[in-house]
Formats: sequence, structure tokens, C-alpha cells
Amino acid sequence: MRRVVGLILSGLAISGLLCAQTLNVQVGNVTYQFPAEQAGQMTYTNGTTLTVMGKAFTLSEIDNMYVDETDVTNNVVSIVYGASSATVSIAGNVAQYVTPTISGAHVTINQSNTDAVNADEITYQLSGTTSNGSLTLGGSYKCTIALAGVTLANPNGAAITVTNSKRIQLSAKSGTVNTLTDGASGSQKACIYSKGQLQLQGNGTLNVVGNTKHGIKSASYISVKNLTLNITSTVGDGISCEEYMEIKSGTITLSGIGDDGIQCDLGGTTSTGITTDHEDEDTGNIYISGGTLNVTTTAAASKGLKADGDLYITGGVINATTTGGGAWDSDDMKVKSCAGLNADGNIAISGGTLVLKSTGAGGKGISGDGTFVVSDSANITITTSGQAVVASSSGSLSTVSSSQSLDRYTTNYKSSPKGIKIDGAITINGGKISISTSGAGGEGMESKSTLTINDGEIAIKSYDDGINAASDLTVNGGMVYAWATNNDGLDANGNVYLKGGLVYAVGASSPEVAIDANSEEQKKLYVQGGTIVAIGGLESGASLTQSCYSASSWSKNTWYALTVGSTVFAFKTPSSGGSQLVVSGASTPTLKSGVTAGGTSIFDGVGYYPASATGGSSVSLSSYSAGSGGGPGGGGGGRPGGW
Amino acid sequence: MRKLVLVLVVFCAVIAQAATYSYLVFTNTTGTTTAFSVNNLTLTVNGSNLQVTNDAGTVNLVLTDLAAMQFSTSADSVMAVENVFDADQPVQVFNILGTSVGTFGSLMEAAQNLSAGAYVISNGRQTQKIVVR
Repeated sequence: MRRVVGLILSGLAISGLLCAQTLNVQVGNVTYQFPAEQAGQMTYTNGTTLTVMGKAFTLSEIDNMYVDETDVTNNVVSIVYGASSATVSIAGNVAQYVTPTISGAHVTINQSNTDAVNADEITYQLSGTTSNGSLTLGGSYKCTIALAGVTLANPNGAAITVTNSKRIQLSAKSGTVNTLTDGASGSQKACIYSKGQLQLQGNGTLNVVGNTKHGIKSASYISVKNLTLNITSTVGDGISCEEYMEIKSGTITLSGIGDDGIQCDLGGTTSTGITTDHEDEDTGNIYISGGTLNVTTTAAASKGLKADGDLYITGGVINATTTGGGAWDSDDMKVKSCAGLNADGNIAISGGTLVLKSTGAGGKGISGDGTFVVSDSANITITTSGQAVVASSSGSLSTVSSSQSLDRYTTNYKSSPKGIKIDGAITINGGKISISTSGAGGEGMESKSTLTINDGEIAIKSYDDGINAASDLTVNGGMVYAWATNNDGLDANGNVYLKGGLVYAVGASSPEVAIDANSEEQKKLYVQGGTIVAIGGLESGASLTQSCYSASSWSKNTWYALTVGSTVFAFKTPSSGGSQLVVSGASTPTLKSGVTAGGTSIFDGVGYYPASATGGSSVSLSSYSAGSGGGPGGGGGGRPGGW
Repeated sequence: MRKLVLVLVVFCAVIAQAATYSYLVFTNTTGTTTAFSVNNLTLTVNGSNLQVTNDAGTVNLVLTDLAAMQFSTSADSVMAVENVFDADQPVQVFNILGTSVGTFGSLMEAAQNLSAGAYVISNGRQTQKIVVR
């Protein structure tokens, strides 16, 4: 009998075949979801408490319990925002570790686990829309925040605040568009703030507005992978972090930025140096290996990227534009200006395509306090179009439009729109660099130390010195074109060593020269090798180990062909420059003017190398002696540069 | 014949129930168990009682008497039915429209005499939905 009854009732279960049963325990707007196969024995205690999977419920606080066929994904906490409320669904296997508090659409979650749950971390999945909500997340173990199509605005604070100091993944799910906005005049550090490491990822889109300070801030490192991140407006930095910053892939667009696009600070007081896989690293470094970064800043003295430590670029695309002018820093008693890229430490670029523009007064393409190395496949294009900015003794700013006027200001009271301005040594081992400057003091590339070119291609058209080194300038190889419209093509306050490669330098009219060493302080130009074309002549007193030859005149905007051995370098003369044309090569060169040139285009279309040249007429070359040609050089080996 | 059909239906159900928890079984402090089909099952704390409602009706369980509950596939549910419907207890049978179709001396007797279809049975205290095939 019992058996038959049991069989009948068992038949009733047919309707639920192959469907998972889930016990839902609803407490306010929070629903805990316990899959039947996981729930095990659920215990009642004294008629007051129900404990399910380690989660204890006070029975009188339970609004409802029901069984349905909801599929539950382990470790997931789903938060759905509504206009004035939010609902939270918690997977049973993590219920005991997640304590939510909901006030309107403001959700606070305290996560208590200190280790993985089911060998995984907890994921908080956000969706829905509210104009008055937020997420605050505390805990002591890493977790993921998955954005699954959420529009979240908090008029009184941050949209997302993570007080958990462990690693947080903030992921925009594929195909979703998510928009986070914080409130104005709040006390929050950012629209998205994380005390812990923040890994931004996912194949979706994240839009961020920072109405009080930064767009995204982490008190630890930030990394970006895959994500399409648009930060459309901030009062402070677009992204601000500490320890280090890493961009691996994705597309980041920073616009409407109130300060720097990306700023990475040293977290502690002393750098750990670079560590294996960045484990526990605190350097203030920025690493970019892929992705596309578009950043536009408008604030005075703002930077597209600013690293407290080093800046390493090995790949990706960076488009950085700064439009702000200079600013007087009353703490440092110094004029400061914009830059596309800036590092307090070293800068190394071995890959990627960089397009850097600065239009404001004193604005630079790249500035750094350490060394600067370019190599491999790096492709850098820099344009600065601002004038120099100067400050009075009281810090009142103004612009000047002539380099001569700049000479009246000491270093801290002026800033010039240079393409690249580096305090340490510059070494070019490869890559391609193209620089254009048009404002007063706008040197193309300047090192306050030594500058060495071993390989690569450099093309510069600058207002001030094309390439300037405060110490020695050495060309061992590569291809170098430097046309300074108002100063020297190549200029060193130390010695200049030309040992190899191809150098095409154009200086302004006397007293400027094409290639200038600091002979006033017993420094010298050493021509020891390479193929050289110098329009405007050489610094007098040069050491010419390799013979040089000069033409008495040259024609503007005309294609010439210099043949050294069997190799031809074709070049187009500029629209202005010093009067003397000096050439040199490993063997006695010949020169033709008015040629029709072809071959491999270099120097932004100003040259071909190796070239083919037809037609034209031979140019008479005479032996060039160091004492007979060239002028004294510009400004004692170049004017001191301002920052 | 009907018994054969019932056996076949149940046989199929048991096989398919391998991953299906069709019952929620309550165990009281004395060790007695009570099972409820999970179809549309809701549990509501109502003062000192836990109000259990499913397709078959509503039962109030005293909270202080409860020790545990657990999902079950089938075995526990058979035991539970024993507690709800005693084997020799008379039951009243209603069709799905709520019209009484008769009173039988036991659930077994009802199952043997009813035409195929869905019914609700009651022992006067509790109800349960059944399907006769």
C-alpha cells in the first residue's frame, strides 16, 4: 500500500524533470538562492533560526521562502538597480560570506571570506539603471565586479567604492554598455574608487564621468585589458593610481579631463624596483604593451600620461593631445607646462605608434627626468605649436615668441614647446621619430645629458635647435634629419661625434650652423664617419678625421643627390637655411642638384635613402677645412633650455 | 491495467529523478519526517508556524517542532506521504474544478477507482495533488 502511494506521488514529479530546484530565501530586497543539490540539511534552531549552507537567518526576518527552478551560478551576487531601489540575489554557496545592506538604490556589501569559495572568487554582477544609487564593497579577499549593462549615478558620492584592499577585477561584460557617474562637490576621490588593485577588463564598454575628482582611482595598481573605456569628463585625472599602471589591450579614450589623462604615483616612499610579473611592485611606473589610448587634456601644465616612476611602451597606439598652457608652481617656484608623456623616471619606447600633440604655451611632446631610450619598432610623431611661456618674479605668466627673448629668463622661469625634453641621457637605438615644433624655444629633441643615436630614423623640423645635448652628442648610426629654422640643426654643449649613419642637418643663417659643438668651452665637432649633409655649415675648429667638402651655394626647395661609393642619398633642400653646404662620406662624394629622385622615402618625404636619382647637374665641391668654414655656432653651443 | 500504467509512469519518473529534487522533507525534533512536493512550494513564517503551501494545499508546521529540512529526490517523500495520508485513512477526492468526485476508504482504493486525470485528495486536514494515468 505504502509503495503504491509513493509511486503515485512520485509520478507527480514528472513535470519537474531535468529542472533544477532552488530554495529562495527572501529578506527584504535580498534573495539568497540555494540550489537543491547543494543545500544539504537546513537546520532550524529553537524556532527562531534557519541555517542554510552556513548562512543563518533569523526566521522572523524572512519575508518569504519559495522553491522554483532558477538556475544559480556559484559565486555570483547579482545586483539589479531600479530607479529608487535595488535588489540583490546571492548564490547559496557564498551566502554566508556576503552581507548586503540596501538603502534605496545604494547597496553596501561586506564580504567576509578570506579564501576562495569553490576554488573561485565572488563575482558581483551589476545591471539596471538608477540616477541615485551606488555600490560600496568591503572585504578582505579578491573579487570581481562584473558590469552587465548598468547605468549607475550617485549624486552624493562615488558610483563604486571598494574598500577591499585586495585585487579587484572590474569587468564590463561583452556586448554591454555601462555608464557610471558620480556626484559633484562630493568628498570621493573618484567616480570609481578602489583601495585595492584594480584590473579593468572585459569586452564591453565602460563610460565614466568624474564630477568631483578623478574618473577612476586606485590606491594600488591599475591594469587594463580588452576593455573599451571612455572617460568623458573629470575634474581631476582621468585615471589615477599608485604602485604601477599597465595597459595590455583595449581602447581607452580620455576626454574632458580636468588634469592629467593618466597619473601613476609611487605608493610608498621608496621604489621596490621592477619585480617579476610586477609582484608587490611599487615603482610608479606605467607599462603600455598594447591597445589604443586616446587622451586629450586641456588643463594648464597637464600631462597625457604622467608616471612618478618610469614609462615603458612596447606596443599599442597612443594619441595624446594637450591644449593647456603653462602654470606657475609656487611650491617648486617654477614654470611648468603640458606634455603628452611625462615621467619622473626613465622613458623607454620600443614599440607602438605614438602621435603626440601639444598646442599650448610651453607644451611638449615628451618630457622626463631620467633617461630616454627609443628602439625597435617604435614610431613616434610629435607636434608642438605653442610659444614659450615665461614667468615674472611673482609668477605672473606670459608668452614670448622669440628665442632671443627667452634668454633673458632663467631656467625655472621659462618653459619652451620642445618636442622631447629629457634631463637624462637620450639613446636612440631604433624606431622612427618625427618631430615638428614652431614656437620660440621649441627644440626638437633635447637632453640635459648625453645624446647618442645608434640606429633608427629621426626627422625634425624645429624652431630652435633640432637636436640638442647639454653634454656630448654622438651619432654612430641611423638616419638623422634636423632642420632648425632659427638655430642649429645639431647642437651640443659638449662635443659632437659623427661616427656613422646618415646625417642631414640644416641650421639657420649665421651665427647659427648646421652642426654645432661648444667650441667656446673647448669642445669640438668630430667628423669621423657617416654620410653627412650640413646646410649652414659646421662649427669652426672641427676635427675632420673624415674629409668634408663644401659647395659655395645651394638652391632652396631643390632635390639634390649625394653619392658616396655606390649609395645615393637624395634630399630636398629647405626653404631657408645657412649659406654653406657641407657634405662628407666614407669616400669622396659627388653631388648633383636638380635631380629627379626616387627610392626609399625617409625624413617625412624630405629624402630618399637609398635613392635613385636621374638628371640634374653636378655641383662643384671643394675641400672643406675646419678653420675656414662655418660660424661660431649658436649661443655658445646652444642656449640653456627652460623646462 | 491502471496499476501497470502507474508502475510504468513511476519507473520513468524515478529514472529521470536522478538529478531532480522533487520534495522538501521536514524533520521535526522527534525525528518524524514530512515531505512536500516542491511544485510551487512556498514557505512563509507566520508567527510561530511555518506555513507550507504547494499545489496540493497549505500546511502549518510549528516552528519550534522543526529540526531540519532537506531536498529529496523520492525516497524521503514516500515516508512523508505516510505521515500526511495514512494508508488506511479515508480520503475525499476532488477534481481540478474543486467538485467532489467521491470518498474512498484509502488512497489506494481511490487510485484504483478513479479515471485518468488530475485530482486533489484530502484527509480532512491536509491535501495533495495526484495524477492517475
